[in-house]
Amino acid sequence: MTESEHLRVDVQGGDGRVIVRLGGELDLASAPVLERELESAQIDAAPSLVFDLDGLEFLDSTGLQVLLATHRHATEHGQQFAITRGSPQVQRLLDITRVAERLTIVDAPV
Amino acid sequence: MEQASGVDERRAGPQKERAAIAGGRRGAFSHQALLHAGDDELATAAATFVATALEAGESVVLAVRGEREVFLREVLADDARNVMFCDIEVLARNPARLIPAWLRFLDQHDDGARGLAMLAECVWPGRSEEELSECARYEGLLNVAFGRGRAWRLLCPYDVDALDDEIVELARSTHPLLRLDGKTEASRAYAGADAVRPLEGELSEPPAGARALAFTITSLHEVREFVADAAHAARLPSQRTENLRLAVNELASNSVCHGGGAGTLRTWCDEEALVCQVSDNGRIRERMVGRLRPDPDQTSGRGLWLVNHLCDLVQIRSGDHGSVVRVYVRLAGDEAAELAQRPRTLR
Repeated sequence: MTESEHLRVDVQGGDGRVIVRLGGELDLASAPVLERELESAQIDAAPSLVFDLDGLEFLDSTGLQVLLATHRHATEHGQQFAITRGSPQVQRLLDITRVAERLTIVDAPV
Repeated sequence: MEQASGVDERRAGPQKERAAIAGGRRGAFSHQALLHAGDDELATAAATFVATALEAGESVVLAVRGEREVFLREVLADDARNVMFCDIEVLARNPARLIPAWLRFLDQHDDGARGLAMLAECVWPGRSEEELSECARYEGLLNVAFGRGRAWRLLCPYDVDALDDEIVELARSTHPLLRLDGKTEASRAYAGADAVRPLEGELSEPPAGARALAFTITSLHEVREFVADAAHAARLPSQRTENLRLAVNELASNSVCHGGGAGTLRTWCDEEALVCQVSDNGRIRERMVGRLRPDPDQTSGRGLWLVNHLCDLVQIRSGDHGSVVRVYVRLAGDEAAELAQRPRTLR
């Protein structure tokens, strides 16, 4: 588990599915922390990636960009990609940007 | 990161303007100001507009205030069943949301065979000076967004009895065509699409009691806390507090990425709204900034789009001295009703 001042990233593997649990605040300042964490062989090799956003207290458009870039990379490499619904703030961000239409949203990470 | 990975919405320039207007039916966009004296003249003009449009097989939309809908339904009688009404007070609260709303509407309703005729009353008596200045910018930008693109008709009523002369003069300069006394004529005062400078002009000074916070990339968390504290002190409802916190975060992030790496946040309350202002040393050049819906696949350029959809009013000014973005979130009003209404309105 990696922890910056305001963001927690916890990557858990198993059963061909890797779950990336995010906690705290994902913004312009903390996005590079997540980007570094995602540059791993475990992430690259996973047939399926699920981002658990339910622990996020704040997500902004820069954090969303990281999720979108990861989604695009995953799709290009034949990986499945999903996110959990997240807080009302996260849902509102996804709704206004219409990103919710593009991503698979699941109720629970497993 | 934002600059490297995709579209910078603050500087995208004519390419993005063109993208907005591509496609659609051939012909011309007709943008008329209806200068009417009082309700009776509006009723007569609206009835003619609707009858003519229905006869021509156009889809008809009347975007008016709730009280006007009741009155116009009576006036239009049977024709009212063949038009769509929508509540302009919700739609045009932030006038910067209107161009994307009309674009979306064209996508939904202009199938190439039927034309679209819309009456939209964006300017009404009682709107604040700040709202009216943004309405005038919207009216000018319509000519930029649609001037060389799709064929559709937009009639914008201005009540010359109830509005200040200055507002009516602005309408003459932003509309190529005027509808007066049942006749359409070219507006001699029309300034043209190239003259539209929505980012120019000065905002009033913030009040002396405004609280200020200088920020950089290391203090974005503090920026959000600062907004939350101001919202708490102003007793802003929770949903609006969340909206404002995200909006100001986006503005501060823009300052960090494009405005010289730092900026200043100021907050204060006026009579009706909690106001937040972010200023920096950057220059915004894209005059349609925040008004063109980001593609769900694009990786950046969502900041000011979000801000426009999170706040009740947004004022963007930029020049050699730097950029200032001032956002307003209303203190009062029925939050639940707004939320319930949103999905049904045009976004």
